[in-house]
Amino acid sequence: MTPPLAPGQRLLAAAPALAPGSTLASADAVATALRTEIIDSSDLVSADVVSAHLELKRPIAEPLTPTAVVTAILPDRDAGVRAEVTAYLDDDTGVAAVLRLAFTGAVPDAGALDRPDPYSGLLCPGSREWNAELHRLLSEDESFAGLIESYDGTLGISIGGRPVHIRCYRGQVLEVVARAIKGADFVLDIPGEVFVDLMTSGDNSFMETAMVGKMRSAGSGYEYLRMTSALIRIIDNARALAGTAGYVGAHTTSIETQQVA
Amino acid sequence: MTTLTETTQSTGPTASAVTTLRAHQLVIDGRFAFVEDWGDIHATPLLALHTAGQSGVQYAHVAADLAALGYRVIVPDFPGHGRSEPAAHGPVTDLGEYARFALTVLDQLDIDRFVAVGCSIGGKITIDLAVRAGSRIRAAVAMAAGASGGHVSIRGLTRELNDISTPSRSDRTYWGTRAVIGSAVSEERRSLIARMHCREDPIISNSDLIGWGRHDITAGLPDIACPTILVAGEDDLWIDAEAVRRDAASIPRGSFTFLPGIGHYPMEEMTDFASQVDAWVRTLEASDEGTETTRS
Repeated sequence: MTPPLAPGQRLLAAAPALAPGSTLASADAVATALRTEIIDSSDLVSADVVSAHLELKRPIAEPLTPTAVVTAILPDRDAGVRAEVTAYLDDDTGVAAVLRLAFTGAVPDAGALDRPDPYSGLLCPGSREWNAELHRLLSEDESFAGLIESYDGTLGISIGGRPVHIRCYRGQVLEVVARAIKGADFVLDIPGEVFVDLMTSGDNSFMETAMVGKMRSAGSGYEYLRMTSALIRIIDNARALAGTAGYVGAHTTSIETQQVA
Repeated sequence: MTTLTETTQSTGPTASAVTTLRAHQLVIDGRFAFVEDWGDIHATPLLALHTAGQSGVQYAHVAADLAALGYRVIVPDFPGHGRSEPAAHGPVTDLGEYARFALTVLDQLDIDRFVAVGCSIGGKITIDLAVRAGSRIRAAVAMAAGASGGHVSIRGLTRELNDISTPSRSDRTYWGTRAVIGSAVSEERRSLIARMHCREDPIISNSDLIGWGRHDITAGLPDIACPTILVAGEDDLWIDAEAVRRDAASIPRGSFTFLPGIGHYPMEEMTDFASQVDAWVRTLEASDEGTETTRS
């Protein structure tokens, strides 16, 4: 039996340094290695690259060593699975490039699997199912209600490119959807791999992550700052969701209670 | 000058000796300035400087321990901080002004030669004092600071001098302080430090940070005569430890120490801060050679 893929799962853990070549050739080699590892180490029987985005952090210095982490898994309409993976290309001084890839893969027939639901939508932050679960958690969270008691608006986060709009009014969470009717007051963009780190770190490291510039906000800067504690509380709830849903490395299944007041 | 004297019991984790604390209310540039004065008045004077927006209370857990180790610990509140009145001309955005203020405090207390310890803006002011105080300064311990202008948005900080531009200030101070406290610090202590830091005047804090961004004393590093140690914590997100290390190398009798598991506030985070400072000062005063250490 091979395990299912899950966000937080590390790939290319034992990968050797890449052969010298162009940056694009290195990216292609990484994609090929990931495809092979996904098929060999999960219950997917295929894995085809459907998108790739290469971000150069600075001039590349060889040799490069790749590592990677699964950031989202989402069942698609054709009974297949979309797997999103971020690969890091490290040189002697750290991460020189970030490669974000998406694969689509086929799963075996249900009879060949030993579990009824191979991939839950909870494994994809920003999916319809994930949004619904976050809505439930936030609606039951009295601390979060207190933090939005004087707020009439929509907080936006974007996780790995998927928008999540959290519409609030007087302490109530009205909806958590991909797009609220009037949009969001602000959107905090969190790359998929950064979100995985937030889900799997020992403590909620939202503020540290923001301070080192790994997340970027757009829209109303005033409302973004005003909602600082609310955003931290959203991450608390998302961490509990991740622990329950089986993100690899997520160990928090109850909502933490570190609060300002 | 008004001087109050009281006797207090140290609450620090290592010392339990009864220590004398004197409190001075000086008049500097026409405004009251509050200064704590711990320990034997004949002991080695040690000037302890606080961080942006904060006050001498940051040394409350360690001053008595330092006094017990043989120092007369002088802890001023900079203008507009703690119990000191604001400067007559308004919030200070020039850290050199704080350096002059610190020397005036020492002058009024009839202290000539001294050791300086400071953190963050207090660390940068300590480096400034090492440049400007000449033979008066015996040794300098500058923590969580380099000599060049700090990486802050002067424009953003200036905009936030207008209160309407800076929502949830206390929340952000609380969470932002927690974020730069080291991994070696307990959760209880981390929360207490962050809570205490919320006792700030935002206008004063922002002005301090503008000074942090503007003040550049790099050119003066080769002229520093006293032995100087620059200290960086592993978990300090505010500074670039490598840049601090390079600054130390530019000081003739400079050295660098890296603190694993410690963040931006060593005097509030380290349970053995007083003994560590004592060790640093003894090492500095005994050595003419620059050294580099990592504390285990």
